[in-house]
Parts: sequence; C-alpha cells; structure tokens
Amino acid sequence: MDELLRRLRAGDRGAFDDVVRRHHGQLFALAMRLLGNVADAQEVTQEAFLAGFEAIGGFEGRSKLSTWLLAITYRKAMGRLKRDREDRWQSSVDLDDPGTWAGQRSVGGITDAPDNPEQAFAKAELRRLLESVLDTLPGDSRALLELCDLQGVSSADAAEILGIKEGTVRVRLHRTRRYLMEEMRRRMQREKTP
Amino acid sequence: MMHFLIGDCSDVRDFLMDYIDHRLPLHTMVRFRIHLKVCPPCARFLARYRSSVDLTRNLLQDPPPEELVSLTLEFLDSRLPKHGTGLDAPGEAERDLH
Repeated sequence: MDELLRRLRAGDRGAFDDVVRRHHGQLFALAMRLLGNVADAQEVTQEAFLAGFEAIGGFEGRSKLSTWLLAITYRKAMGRLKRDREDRWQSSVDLDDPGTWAGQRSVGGITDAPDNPEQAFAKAELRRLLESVLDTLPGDSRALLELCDLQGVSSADAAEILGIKEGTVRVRLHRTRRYLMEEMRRRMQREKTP
Repeated sequence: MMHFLIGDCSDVRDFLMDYIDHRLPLHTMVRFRIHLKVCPPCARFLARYRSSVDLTRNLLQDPPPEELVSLTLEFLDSRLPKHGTGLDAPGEAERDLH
C-alpha cells in the first residue's frame, strides 16, 4: 500500500497536513470556478477535505488521491449550486444546441497577451471578458475547463471526477473550448465597435 | 479519391482534440496534416483553437492562496478526531525514538 495512504488511514495528522498543502490549490480552484466567490469556495474546499479524510478507509487507491478529492469537491460544489439556485451562475448557454453555433465562424484576433507592464491593462480587460463568458457556461463545462485546461488533469481522470464517460468529457471540452473561442471573438469585436 | 486522401474540413474540426492530444491513429494523423497543408482556413482554425486554450490557461491561473491553506488546516484541526499521530500526537519518527 502507498505509504501516504497508510499514514492517512492510521490517522496521521502530519499526513493530512501534507495532503492539504499539496492539493488545496487544485480543490479551491475547482470550487472557485464553480461557485465564483472565495467564501463559498473555501467552505467547500474545507468540507471536501474533511469528508475525504473521514472516508479515507473507503478509498481503495485505484484512482489518484487528488482525483478522489476533486470528485468530492465537485459533488459538494455542484450540490451547493443546486441548493442555492442563484441566477448569477444560471447557465444561459446550451452547448448541445445547434442554435448556439448558428452564424458563428472561426475566431480571429485572439492572441495571448504579452505579460509586460505595457500590456497589463489589456490583459486585465481580456480576463474580465473571459470571465464574463465563463459566467454564461454550465457548471460542468466550467469544471471541465478548470480541470483539463488549467490543472492539466487527463480526460480519464476528469471523467472520474465528474462521473461521466471519457468520450463525453472530450466532446464537451471541445464544445466548451470552441464556444469560448467564438464568444470571446464576438465580444471583442463588439467592444471594438464604437 | 483526392477527397478521401485529404479529408474534409468537418473531419478536421471533429478530430481536432485528438490531434492536439496525439491520440489519432497514424494514418488519420497523416491525412489530417496533409489537409492542414492544403487548407489555410483549417490551419488558421487550429492555430486559433490552440491560442484560445493557451489564453484561457494564461489568464485564469492564479497562485494558490496560502492564507486559505492555513484556514483549512485550522478547520480540520478542530473537526478531525485527535487520535492520530503527527501534529497533535507523537509522530512515528518520535515513537521510534522511544
């Protein structure tokens, strides 16, 4: 058995601390992407760690510990979203609807903003624009972007975390990326128009 | 015949993710690359798709909030039973010394 897992099962508080320090950033980022505010994201992160540690006896080590903890975080964050029913995060986009793509063509003009002082304002504006587009996406699509594109989680692990098939992960991720790309282009052009 | 060899634009859009992740079978990847060479719109689409993913990654990745880690550790300290080893009890290394 993995040494860390053995220590966790033995109730070694030092091992718990190690796991928190190692994975807090990942869990918090996922919760933040879904819930959109620090207080809720932090609360869900804490609850996820607690639930994970309390149930560590049931973790068989077939998946990575981080994958298991991220799955708990995802379920808790989605549960909170459903409970709260806050319109702020209510998705206005259905990526499976062909109408979403009607009239859209390939993106143009999106480039990575150079990270230098002269471009700082432009980068902040781009981020604001990107986050406003992300706000329109359903929770599972935001989670997919966070896991696969920001944290580099494999599509197989993302499937386990979200409780869906790997093929579904890849189709949804592709649709989400395309939507982001097209919508960013559309909004950038709109903002340029006087 | 030419169409079969090169593939069409909708194939390229469908296979985009698998191409980027190097998951295409060799013969499909070769067809994909040939198509990109002869189809500037698809080549541009691929470049924009990649840059869009990079843009998302670069704009949204924040450093982990250190102070929140401490809060979580305090929270767990108050909620987890104190029967284990580590901070609140002698660690294994310590026990081994006795």
